[in-house]
Amino acid sequence: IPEAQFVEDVDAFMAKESGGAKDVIKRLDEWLSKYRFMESHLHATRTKLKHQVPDIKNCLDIIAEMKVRQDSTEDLETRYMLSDQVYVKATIPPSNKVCLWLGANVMLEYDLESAEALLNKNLGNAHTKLTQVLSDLDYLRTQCTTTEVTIARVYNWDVRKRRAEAVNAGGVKA
Amino acid sequence: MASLGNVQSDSEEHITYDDQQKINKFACCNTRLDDIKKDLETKETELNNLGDAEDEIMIALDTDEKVPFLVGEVFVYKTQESATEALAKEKEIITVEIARLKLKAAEFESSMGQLKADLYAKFGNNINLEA
Repeated sequence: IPEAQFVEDVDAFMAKESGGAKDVIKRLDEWLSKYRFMESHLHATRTKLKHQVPDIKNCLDIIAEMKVRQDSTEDLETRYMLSDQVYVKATIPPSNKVCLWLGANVMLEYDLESAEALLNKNLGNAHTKLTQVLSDLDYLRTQCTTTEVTIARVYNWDVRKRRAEAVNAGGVKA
Repeated sequence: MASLGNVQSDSEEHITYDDQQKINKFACCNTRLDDIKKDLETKETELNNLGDAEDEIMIALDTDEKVPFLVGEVFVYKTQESATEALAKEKEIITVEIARLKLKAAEFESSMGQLKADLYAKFGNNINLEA
């Protein structure tokens, strides 16, 4: 992601830039829309990751529950979700195996320890990715703000210039 | 979206790199604070729900009736004591999480307050920083 250029002195900056204030503002505006587009993309990624974390935590909870019961002889009585609003009775004998859905139509059987390790690893990855996305979002926000401030300053500079020219023209005429 | 630093016209005030950094930091803190507020709201609703669930167990069920306890998408039948225990544990986790979020929010609010004071001191009416 390219960094937004900070303008120390608007006069020097405008002298260097080709085209008038309008062109410069137009260019800066294009950059701003690019930054905003990237920002919305990152927002979508962040929302997806935020949903993943509770899902993984739920799986870990179930595994913890099964671990507690694996040494007992009692069957686990459950209601699981068949579809929205519809739950079905299930009785699960104590077991030390779980199947994990890996995506892409693949489901693998693991014993409880390996399943827990895998899920914890996924949780760690999700957290790392989330931190990364958040820091990228911060960076983008900074670039957006800098660009917005630069646009405002160029606009003000232009307004002041026009006013000064009008005063000079008025002075010359008089 | 909350409005952040807007520099208005009619000013000859020169914006230094430091000022720009402060404005950017204000914007970031503002965004993060908004996120934290949303998270806090969700967690507090969850905490209330858990409290209600605890009360319901005591009121609504006979003493040896098993409680369907939601773990993820699956209801697991637990005895009333293990359900109450699990609920208490979840409540504790969420309370700790809420305290952590509140602390972060307070930190952001205090740095935003400081930045506001600095920027208003320099720019006065020419800048608008509303949370």
